[in-house]
Amino acid sequence: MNRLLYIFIFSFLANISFAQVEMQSPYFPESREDGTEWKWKATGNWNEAVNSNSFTNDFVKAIDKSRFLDGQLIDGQLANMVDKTLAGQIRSIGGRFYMNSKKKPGKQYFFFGIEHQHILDTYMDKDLLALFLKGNKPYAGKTLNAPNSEFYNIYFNQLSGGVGYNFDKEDVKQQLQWGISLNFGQNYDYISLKNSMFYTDPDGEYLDVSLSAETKLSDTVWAEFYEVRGIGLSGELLYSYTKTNDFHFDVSFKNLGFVRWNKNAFSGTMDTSFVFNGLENDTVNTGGGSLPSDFDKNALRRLLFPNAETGSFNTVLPLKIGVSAGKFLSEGKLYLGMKADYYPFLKAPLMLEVFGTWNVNNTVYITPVMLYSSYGKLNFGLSLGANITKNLRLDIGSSYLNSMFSGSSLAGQGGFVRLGFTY
Amino acid sequence: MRISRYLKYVVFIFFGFLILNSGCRKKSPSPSWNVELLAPLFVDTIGVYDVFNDSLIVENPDQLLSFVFNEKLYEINVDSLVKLPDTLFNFAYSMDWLPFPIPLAPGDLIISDTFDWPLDYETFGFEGIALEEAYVRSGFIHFEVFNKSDGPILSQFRINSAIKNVSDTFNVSKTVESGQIASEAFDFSGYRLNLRGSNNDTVNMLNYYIGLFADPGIPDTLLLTSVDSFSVNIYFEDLVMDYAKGNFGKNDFHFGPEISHLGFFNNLNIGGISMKDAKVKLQIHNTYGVDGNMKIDQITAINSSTGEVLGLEGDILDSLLYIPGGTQTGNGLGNIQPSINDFDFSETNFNDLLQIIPDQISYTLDMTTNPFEDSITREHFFYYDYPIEVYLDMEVSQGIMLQDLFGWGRSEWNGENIDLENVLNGNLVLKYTNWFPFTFDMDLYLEDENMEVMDTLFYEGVIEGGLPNADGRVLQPTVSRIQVELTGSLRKSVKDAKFAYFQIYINSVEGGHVKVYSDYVMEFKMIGDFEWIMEP
Repeated sequence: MNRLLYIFIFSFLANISFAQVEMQSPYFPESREDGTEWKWKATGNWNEAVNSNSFTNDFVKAIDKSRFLDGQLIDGQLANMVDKTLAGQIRSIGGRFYMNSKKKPGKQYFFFGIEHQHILDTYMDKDLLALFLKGNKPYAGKTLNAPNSEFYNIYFNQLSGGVGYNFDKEDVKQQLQWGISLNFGQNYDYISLKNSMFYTDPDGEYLDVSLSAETKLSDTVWAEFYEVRGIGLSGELLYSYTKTNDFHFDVSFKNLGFVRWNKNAFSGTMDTSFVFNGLENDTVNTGGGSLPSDFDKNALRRLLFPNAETGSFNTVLPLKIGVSAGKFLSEGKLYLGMKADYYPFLKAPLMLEVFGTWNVNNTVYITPVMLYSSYGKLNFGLSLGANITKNLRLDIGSSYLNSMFSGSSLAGQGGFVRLGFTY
Repeated sequence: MRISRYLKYVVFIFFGFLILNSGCRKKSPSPSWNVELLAPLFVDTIGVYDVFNDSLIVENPDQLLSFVFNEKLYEINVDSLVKLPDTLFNFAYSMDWLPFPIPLAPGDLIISDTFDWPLDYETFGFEGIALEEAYVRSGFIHFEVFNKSDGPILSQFRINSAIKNVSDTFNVSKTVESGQIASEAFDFSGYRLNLRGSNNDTVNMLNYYIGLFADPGIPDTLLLTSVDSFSVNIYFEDLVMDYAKGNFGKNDFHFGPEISHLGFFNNLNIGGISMKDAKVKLQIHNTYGVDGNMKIDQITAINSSTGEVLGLEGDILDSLLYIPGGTQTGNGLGNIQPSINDFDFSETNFNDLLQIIPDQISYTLDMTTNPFEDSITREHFFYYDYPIEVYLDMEVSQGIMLQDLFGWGRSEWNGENIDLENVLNGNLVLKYTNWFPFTFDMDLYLEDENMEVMDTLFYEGVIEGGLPNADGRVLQPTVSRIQVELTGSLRKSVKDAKFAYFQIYINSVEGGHVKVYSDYVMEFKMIGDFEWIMEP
């Protein structure tokens, strides 16, 4: 019970889950009430997933909680690093309000909602991480290579609105829902490093560096949740097919759109090899004077990316394609299914779940879940759903119960909370 | 000095680097950890022209540098030449020749006289001076008239050969009451004098006019009788010439003992200097258009701080140094091509005089103008504003010894934006690769707004000099490292300081004479070696 409570609290506080904001439970496609029996529905969702193929839970937790990473933790982490470290975080927090159509109750409905999304996706070389975590001094005299690393991090908020249709024919129920979202960009960071190399002279007298880097930043100053640094549009689409007590299938597209970041956005590229002896003030050949007089952050950023530009640019949102399907057994008391979420623009694009839901008297739903992801590992979890009252439905769950309580396990943390109220 | 600028950069760039590590990421809640950083932060190369003033050195074909010192020791203005003698002349007019009294109406002429009168140089001990032209720089003409008649008179005095502003003749007048003496001094500056007389065929001659009139202001008549008389005295006082032209004759002048202040070593702030095999010349720039013989009686170097005094010794003392005259070029006044005359002092002990770091030079000398007594020429000239100049001209290529050549500098410091919160501990390593055969001892401080020292970046940091081989060439640089610990106090001072102040002493290696080549450099590199709290 304590663990269940922990899961709930953890999910609530750390904002963890995986599913998109939707009207139904992710693991049991309930039969929708007859169209004449509800006027409106409200749902709230907290979803988060944190994964890595190399970082441990302790390490990720320390980062997530903004703690101090002590030397033992870092050394232990570095001792078990793979050559290419994948790490990511997908977070969404939001709520939606659905209204049954008065003219076509049960056949048409409308919705609007608000949602905050944060997606972090990184792909890092082992040497680069070592350099980042330990500094260059421990590796003086050695060549560190970073052939391919990327860091992608986006925060944005959505205001959504749309319409859904139900097409019922005997025991087949189809649903089509589409919507459009106004996106408010909050922060965006993208840095890539290709074919790069770093060498420190044992006495620190020079650095031999090859760098091929690209960066795009929404702004050089961190934006808070309520601040807007970019605006864009996106669309979403959902189609589901359910044959009562037989099988279910749905496919969805979300975040099909873009954000245009404002004029303070920063972008730059660098492709160079050089031996850095220190910032030069060559009084013999140039008479000096080439050094910036102001060493604030912007000036130094300009020093790194001398050809950088400041101005608007567009970024596509991290598109998500969801597919879910399953088979009802025992007259709907059991539902065996799979659910796949695919993010084509991320380095770790796939999250695939296989699950089975036991419907206990249409009141309690118990769902063991097995998750496989692009991080190359299996996770196991459990979801619970409950119709607490006639109008109130709660779903909580996590697919990482096998790992999230073991600090030394590879990072796998996450879960979801969904609360639905129907009137 | 350039050093002050790079020291400012040194520290700014170092701390800028620290900012860079946290500055490329946006600020958001983030974890932290310690990293060990080791990196060059700043590098600078200092060449010979950064250490020595360009005007002090000359590069030879083999890159060996010669140090050239050219310092004006003193100026000679031949005051006697540029003065006109204080000439006095007197005119007495008696009316005893009148057979009977004559009534004169107001303004009627009593007597007038136009005449040439020579400047009297001989009386003042100058021989053979024959001036044709002169410009008056300053001075006065006194005009004094005695009137022994029954009524007031108007006296008028004019120098027809003194013209100002192209056409204004020197012309003054004075009313003198009966039985009175009237006297007045008139400013004579700015007048151009034609000294060739009324017929333009002589020298040292001015043309004058004196006129006495019945005062135009009298109501009736002035009765002039045989007992009346008048007296006029005119004399020049303190007349100094801007320019004169003619023949200056053979004349002897004595100068000194006089003291001239020497600023050269004050500028260097040096404790000691010695030149090996220095070529020492006394260079005389004769801007006067007359040749002459100069004889140096004595030159004494004085260090007023230490009290050291040392006199020049050598055969050149008491020798006659012939100096040709300068020439005028073009039409304009003041276009002078001085004759530049070098006299070798290498065989004297002049080098020893410099080693006491004198701030004063005392000298006594004699000069004879026109020693060959050329009485024909009228092309001698001088200008008051262009005195004869005497320079010390010294070239040293075989070795120089510096002892505590001192330099200092202060530059503004703005460290308010330098964030050192994340520096846990560490050091700055200052590495110097020095080809110069000089040792540098340096102190570097941070000061508050009152220029009071807040902290010491380093004190008596020694940068060893390169060691010359048998040929005097440094073939391998010497590497020195100075380590500065980044203490908590220093981190605070870096943020609060308003000025950076340094002192530096330069000495020749091993206290000897060293040659300097143009390819000598000193590379300075600052390396950061510290533990840093990373907060991305």
